[in-house]
This record gives sequence, C-alpha cells and structure tokens, in this order.
Amino acid sequence: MLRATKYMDLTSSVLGLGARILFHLRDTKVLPLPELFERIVGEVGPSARYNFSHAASFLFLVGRLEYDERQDIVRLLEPEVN
Amino acid sequence: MTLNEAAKILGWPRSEVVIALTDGIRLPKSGTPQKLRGQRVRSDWDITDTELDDFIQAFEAEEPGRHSPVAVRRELLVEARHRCAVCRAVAPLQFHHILEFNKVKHHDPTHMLAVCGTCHDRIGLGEIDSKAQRIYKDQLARISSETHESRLVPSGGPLRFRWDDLREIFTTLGGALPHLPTTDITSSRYDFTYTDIETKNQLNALSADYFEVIERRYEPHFHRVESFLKDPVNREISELYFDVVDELRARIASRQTSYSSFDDILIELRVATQRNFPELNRRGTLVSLVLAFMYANCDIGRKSSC
Repeated sequence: MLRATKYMDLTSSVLGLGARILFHLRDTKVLPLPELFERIVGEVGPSARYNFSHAASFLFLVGRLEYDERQDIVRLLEPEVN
Repeated sequence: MTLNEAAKILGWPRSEVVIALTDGIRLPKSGTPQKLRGQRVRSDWDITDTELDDFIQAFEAEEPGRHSPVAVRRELLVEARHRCAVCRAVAPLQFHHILEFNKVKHHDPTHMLAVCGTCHDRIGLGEIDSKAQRIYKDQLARISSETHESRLVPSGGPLRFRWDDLREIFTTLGGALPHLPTTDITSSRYDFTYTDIETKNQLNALSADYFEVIERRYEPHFHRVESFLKDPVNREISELYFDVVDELRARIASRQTSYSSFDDILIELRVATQRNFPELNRRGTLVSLVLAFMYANCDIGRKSSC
C-alpha cells in the first residue's frame, strides 16, 4: 500500500494524499471530514476516493491526525519532539 | 537522408561514411579520393539521393557492375525488409547479382539479392548456388505479399478499447499465474530502470519495421494503458499485470538467445496467448498493444548488455 511500484500514481498514492491532508489542515488545524474529503477529491480527481481513507488512517497511525466521531471532524496533531 | 540512412544504403559503417563526407574515399583503381557531398545539419548530415548516386557512380565507373545505384539498393533493402535475404541477420547489407552483371549489363533488382557480408562470401565460395539464391529471392516475394505488418498486427480496423477490455486481458492472463509475494524485490513492480529506446532496440535486435509499427499503431494508446495501471481503482488488476510481466521475463530470459530478434518473441507471445487463451482471440490486437507497451516501457526485453 505504501511502497511505490512502477505504475503507482504518486498524486493519488497514500503518501501523496497524506501530504495534501496535512496541507489542508495546516492553517485551520480542524476540518469536518466530509469537507476535507471533498477538497482532496476536488483537487486530485475521483481516483483520490480510493486511497483517501488509507491516507487518513496512515496519518492517524503515525500520530498526526485525530478523528472526533461525535462531531465528524479531523484535527491535526503537532508532531511530538523528543 | 541522414548519415545513418546513407550508411544503410551503402552497406558501410557509419564511421566510413563520415570519412567519405569529410576527407573522401580513394577509388579502387585510380586511387583518387572521392568525396561524398552533403549538407551538415547540426550533429548530422543531409545527403540527397543524387549526391549519393554521384558518389556511387564514381566507384561504378572504375568497377562496373559492383556498385548499384541508390534506387536499386533501396528496392532490394525494402524487399528483404532490411535484413539479409539468406540468414535474415540485421547487418550491413551488400547487393549481389544472381545473374552475373556481364550477362545483363545493368543493375536489375529482379535478379539481385540484399545479403550480409558473410552470406555474400558464402555465395562467392559456392556454398549457396544460383538456384538456392533464386529460392531465397522467391521467399522474399512471398514475405512481401503477406506483408510483415499483417503478421504483427491482426486485422480489424481502428484500435478501440475500454478499461473493461484491459481488465479482461490482465485477469485472464494473470489469473492463470501464481501471485508472487509483493515483497519480492526482484519483481518488475520495483524495477524502475529505463533504457532509451534506441539502445533498447539494439540490445534486443528489434527491427526498424516492427518499431515503426509500435510507434505508429500502438504508441498513441500507451497513455491509456498507463492511466489504467496507475489508477488506484485498478490496483488489484495492476498486480496481475506485474505477475504477467514477471512470468514473461522468466520465459523470455530462458529463450531470448535462441531468437534472432525481439520481433519473433513478440509475435510468438501473441500467438501463444491466442493458443492458450482462446477466450482472448477477439482481443488479438489489444494483446499486441499490451505486449508493445510492456516492451516500450522496459517491462520486458533486455535493458543492458550484461
């Protein structure tokens, strides 16, 4: 899923979409999940639909994203600096 | 014509033609340096048929019957599809008179053959007699009537296809193969090396004719195959594509030395696909397109000389 293959489209890859998600949250820090989804799909195209959830999950796993199920929003978390 | 094209017509190495253009080549009897006229165009040359004919004529004047004019040479090259008429090698070609020049007194292409230096020597030694030469000549006529392209490109109008057609091909071919673990670093999935197409064609001895077919017939559709493989929606199908490529690589590697050119391999692969997967028979052209895509994108075929 993460490892690049010869015919992987980097723009719609998990890492490519992850970078866009971080970019959109950089200023506001918080966005409704449906709005974030629409923004990314609007920029990249329908092919973003397939990997959007994988990209969001990846950012959650590395501790950069938090999802508030009650409000259906995602929040950007600052990286922990040791 | 360019420098390379003039070299093909003359059957000389490129370096020899450069000398002819810059310093001249000594004529066989008088020893007078004869220069080939031409216009320098950036790093290449532009040589007209007339200029090349004048150059050849100077040699012909000293050795009658040994230096045929450009039009005759071109006709013979096209007839032999730019390969030796006897061994089919892609090599500098010479122009042999089946009927001795002294008998006909002119360069008649209907009694001539384009052959490589080795086969020309064998003819000279009597290993290939004039009847055999005539048979080779007749074989060339048959090849021409079939047309090379008809062997490469199945008939059937303009090439139209949808993503579903590609899905069907990769599912059918890939479904018959074991799926390799995606961590296998030798897999074509992780091979990002490319070779420029001219070098690749040389390494694989792909003929100019076949490459022209690839460029003209298939290349305009390559972007659609690539878009298909790149779209995340088709990720599972693209995995099958890599499985097919890995399988073909293994098969080609074990047999490439027994083929004289990659043309034969591509034709053989298409025929084998249609034989083993009759359900794909109506997709013959698309199978050829996919094979050409694999070759042009460095998925199959040699990419280095080692």
